[in-house]
Amino acid sequence: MGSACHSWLCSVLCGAFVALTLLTGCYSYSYHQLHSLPPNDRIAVDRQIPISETQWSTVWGGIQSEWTPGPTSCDGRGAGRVETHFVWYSVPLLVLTLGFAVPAETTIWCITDEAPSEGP
Amino acid sequence: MKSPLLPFETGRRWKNWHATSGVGGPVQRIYIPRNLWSDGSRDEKVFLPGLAGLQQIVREAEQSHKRLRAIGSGWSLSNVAYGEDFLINTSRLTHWFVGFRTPTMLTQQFRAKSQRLVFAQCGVLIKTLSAYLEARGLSLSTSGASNGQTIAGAISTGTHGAANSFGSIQETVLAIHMVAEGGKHYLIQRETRPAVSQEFCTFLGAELKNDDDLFHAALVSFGSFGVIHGVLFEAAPLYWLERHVKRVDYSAVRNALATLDVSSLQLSGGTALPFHFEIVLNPYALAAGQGGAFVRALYKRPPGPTLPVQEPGHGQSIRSEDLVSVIGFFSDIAPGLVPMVLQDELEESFTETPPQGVLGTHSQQFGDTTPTNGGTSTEIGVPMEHVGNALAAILRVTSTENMAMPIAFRYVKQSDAFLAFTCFSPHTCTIEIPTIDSVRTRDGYERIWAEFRNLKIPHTFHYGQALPLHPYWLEVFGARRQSWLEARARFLSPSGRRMFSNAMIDALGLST
Repeated sequence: MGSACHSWLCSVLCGAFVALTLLTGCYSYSYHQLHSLPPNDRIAVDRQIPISETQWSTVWGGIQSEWTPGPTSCDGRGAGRVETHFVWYSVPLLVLTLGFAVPAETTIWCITDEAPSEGP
Repeated sequence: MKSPLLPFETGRRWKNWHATSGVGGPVQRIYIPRNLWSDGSRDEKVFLPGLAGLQQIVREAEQSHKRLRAIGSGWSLSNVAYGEDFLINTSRLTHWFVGFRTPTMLTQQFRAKSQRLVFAQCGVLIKTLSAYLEARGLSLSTSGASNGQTIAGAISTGTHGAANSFGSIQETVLAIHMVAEGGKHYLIQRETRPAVSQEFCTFLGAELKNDDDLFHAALVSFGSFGVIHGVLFEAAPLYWLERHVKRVDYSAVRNALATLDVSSLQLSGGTALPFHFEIVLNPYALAAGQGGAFVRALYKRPPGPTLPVQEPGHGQSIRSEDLVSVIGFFSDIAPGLVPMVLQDELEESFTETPPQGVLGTHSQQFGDTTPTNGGTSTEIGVPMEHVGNALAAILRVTSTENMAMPIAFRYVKQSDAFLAFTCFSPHTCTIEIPTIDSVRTRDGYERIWAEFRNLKIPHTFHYGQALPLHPYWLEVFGARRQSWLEARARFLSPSGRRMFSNAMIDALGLST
C-alpha cells in the first residue's frame, strides 16, 4: 500500500515537473522599436515573416552566442521587433546539464516602415 | 527585361494577428514580393518590381490552377484573407507617395487637391500613413479603432470607425490599381468622379477603367476582383479630435442608441452629433445606478501650433483601445465573474475624461493594439430603425448565461461600395461584440445570429469578423449584390472568378 502510494506520488510529481519545465517554453521577452514621428507608435513590421534562430549559451553563461541575420533578410531596414524565449527543451536541458548548456530562441520581425516619396 | 525578386515559402501554416481559433491553416505557398529585382537592385519607379512580382504570381497561379489571396496584416478575425493554395504576403510592398508634381496626371477637378492625394502600395500600414501624413499637415479622414491594418486590407473589408458624417475608410478612395487575370493591371476609378488622367495610367503602365459599377463593386471586394497593388486616396487637411468619455446608466443612452439624438446626454457639444459617436454597453449592468453604458464622443477641432501632449493614464489617456484587446485577458473559465470583470475592464478602458476633453490628432486617438492571442469578434450592421430590436435580440442571448461580451454601437454613413456592410441609409448602426474565442463564445454568436434571422431584422456582417458562412444574410443587399456579381462577371472570366475566391467567398455564394 505504502509502495503503491509512493509510486503514484512519484508519477504525479514527475508529470508535474515535466509539464512545468515544458511550459517554460512559453515565457518570452520582447522589444519593439517605436516610430520616430508622433505619436511614436510601435513601428510597422512584417508580421507574416518571423525570422528565428536557436542560440546556445554554455559553460554557465561563460560562452554566449550572438546571432547576426544576413543583410538581405530585412531588405536593409533592420529588425523592428525582437523576441527571445525559451524553447520547450530549455529547462529540461538546464536541469540535466546542471546549467552547463541552455538554448533559447531569438526571433526578429523586419521593419516595413517607409517614408513617402514625392509624387510623379 | 528584369525579373522580380519573388521568394516564397511552402508548406507553412498561416494564422491571423490575433491567433483566432479556426482562422488560417495550412498553405501550399506564400509569396513574398518586394520592390526589388532578382539581382537585388531597385528601380527608378520604386513600385515596379513589386508590381511585376504580383503579375508573375497571378500568372503562376493561373498556370497551376490555384486559388490566390493577398494577405495584409492578418488583422481580420475571419478567414476572409485565407486560402489553402497560394497566398501573397504584401507586407514588403510599402512604397507610397504624397502629392502630384504633374498636374496633367490629374483631372481638372482634382488638381487643386493635388498635394493631398496619396498613392500607396497595398502593404502600407495605417499607422505608417498616419505618422507621416500628420507630420506633413495632413490626416486620414477616418480609420478603424486601431491602426495595424494595411491600407488594401482595411479598404477591402470595409474597415470603419464611427465617423457618422463621413463613412468608412473606403470612402476616401479615388482609384484602385488592380492586378487581374493574365497579370494585366487596371486603374479603376469612377466615371462620374474621375481623379486621374490617362497620363497617370501610362506612368503606372496600367489600363484605365472609368466605370462606376466596377469601382463600386471592386472597392469592398475582399480580394475577389484580383490583387490590389495600390490605391489612390484623398487625405484630409490636418485636424485634431477632442475626446470625451463618460459613464452613465443604460437608461440615459437608450434613446440615443436608436435615434442619434444626443440631447439628453449632456455632451460638451450640446445637441450636435459629434464627429465620432459610440456607445458601449455591459449587458450585465443595465439597471439603474450600475453605470453600465459608456459614451465616447470626439469632436473635430482645428489643429494648434504644437502637438497635444500625451499623458497616458489617470483619465488623461489619449490612447484608444481596440475592444478585442480590452477583454483579452479573461476567458470563460469563470463565467460567474464575467459581469464584474467586464465592468471593471470597461471602466478601465473607457476612463472618464475631464470636462474640457482630451485633445489629440487622429493617430493619437486611434492608436496601437496588441495581439490578444485568441481574440475574436462579430459585428452586425443594422438600419437605425431596427437598433432597438437588435439590442433586444442580443440581450436575450446574453441573459441566458454570462458571456464576456461588451456590446459596442457605432454609426457609419452609408457606403457607395455595393457590398459594404455599412449599406443602410442614412446610417448603418454597427454593433460589435468582441470577446475571446471559445466554444461558449461561438455558441453565443450562433444564437445571436439565429435571433436576428428568426426575428427578420435586416442585417449585414463585417467581413473581417466572425460571421455566418451562409448566403442568407447577403439577400439584404438586394440589387447591390446583383450589381456586384454582374460587375465581377464583366471583369473576370469564370476561371478568374474561381482563382480570386476562397472557401469563405464560396460559402457566401459570391464566387460564381
